[in-house]
Amino acid sequence: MSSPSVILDENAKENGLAMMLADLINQNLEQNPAKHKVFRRINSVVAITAADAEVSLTMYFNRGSCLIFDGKVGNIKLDITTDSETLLGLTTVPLRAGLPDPLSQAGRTMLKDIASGKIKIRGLVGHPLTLVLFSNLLSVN
Amino acid sequence: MAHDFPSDAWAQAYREALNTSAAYKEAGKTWTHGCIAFVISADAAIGLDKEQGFVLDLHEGVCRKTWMVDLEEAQKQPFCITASYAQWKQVMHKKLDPIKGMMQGKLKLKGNLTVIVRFVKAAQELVSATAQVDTRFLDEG
Repeated sequence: MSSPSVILDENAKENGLAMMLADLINQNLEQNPAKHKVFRRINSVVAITAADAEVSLTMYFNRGSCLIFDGKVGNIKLDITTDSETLLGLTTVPLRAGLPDPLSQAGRTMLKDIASGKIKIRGLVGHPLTLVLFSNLLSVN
Repeated sequence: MAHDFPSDAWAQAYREALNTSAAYKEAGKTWTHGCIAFVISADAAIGLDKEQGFVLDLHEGVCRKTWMVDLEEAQKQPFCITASYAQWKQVMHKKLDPIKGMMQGKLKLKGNLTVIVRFVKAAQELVSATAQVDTRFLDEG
């Protein structure tokens, strides 16, 4: 097994969400070689908050590597906030062109959640490609 | 009759509760990914001088078997969730959602997350079924 591509900053090692996302992406990369291409294209800073769990993190992507920090830090390009269950739902929703598939029930629900503000995405207008690539990287489908 | 948590009698009663849960049967009907171990961290104050665990042999919405294990055996299972006694108690009382607990680092999951994220509903029903077991908690005398 190759060394993990997503690693945790020392202060993020007690952040459960950070551990979960690191494991999820590393396992996705291990099980699906096509994800490596996506991973190597991301050069951005993404923050994630599970509001109900009061947990947040920042992921620094640098074309094939990712370092996760506890909390929101630095120059965040894409900032995603939702509740913990919806956040996990982002990993299983069917995608079409990297975005939730409106032809599927789960995709429509997700798009409705974005429109209603249940899922808040700041930076979407300025960094749409980051969202597409990030969604693809997280997806277990 | 109340059963001590954790104990083999409790685990057997839990298996029966799971197998009478229509909600779990439905949510877990496509689960073919093997056993899940639950581990309670050592806590000398309540008489747990070492970690205790039990394994659920889950398959297609049915719990085929359950048995008590030590930490080493628990960690050999495909999935292993570890938490303190107090946190398991909170989960069983539905004061702590298991997904939220994982994101907060209160429950630690070892195993393939790309599988687990597809079974959030089943995980919630696993937890709900614990309420059907008449439980005597070690810290309640």
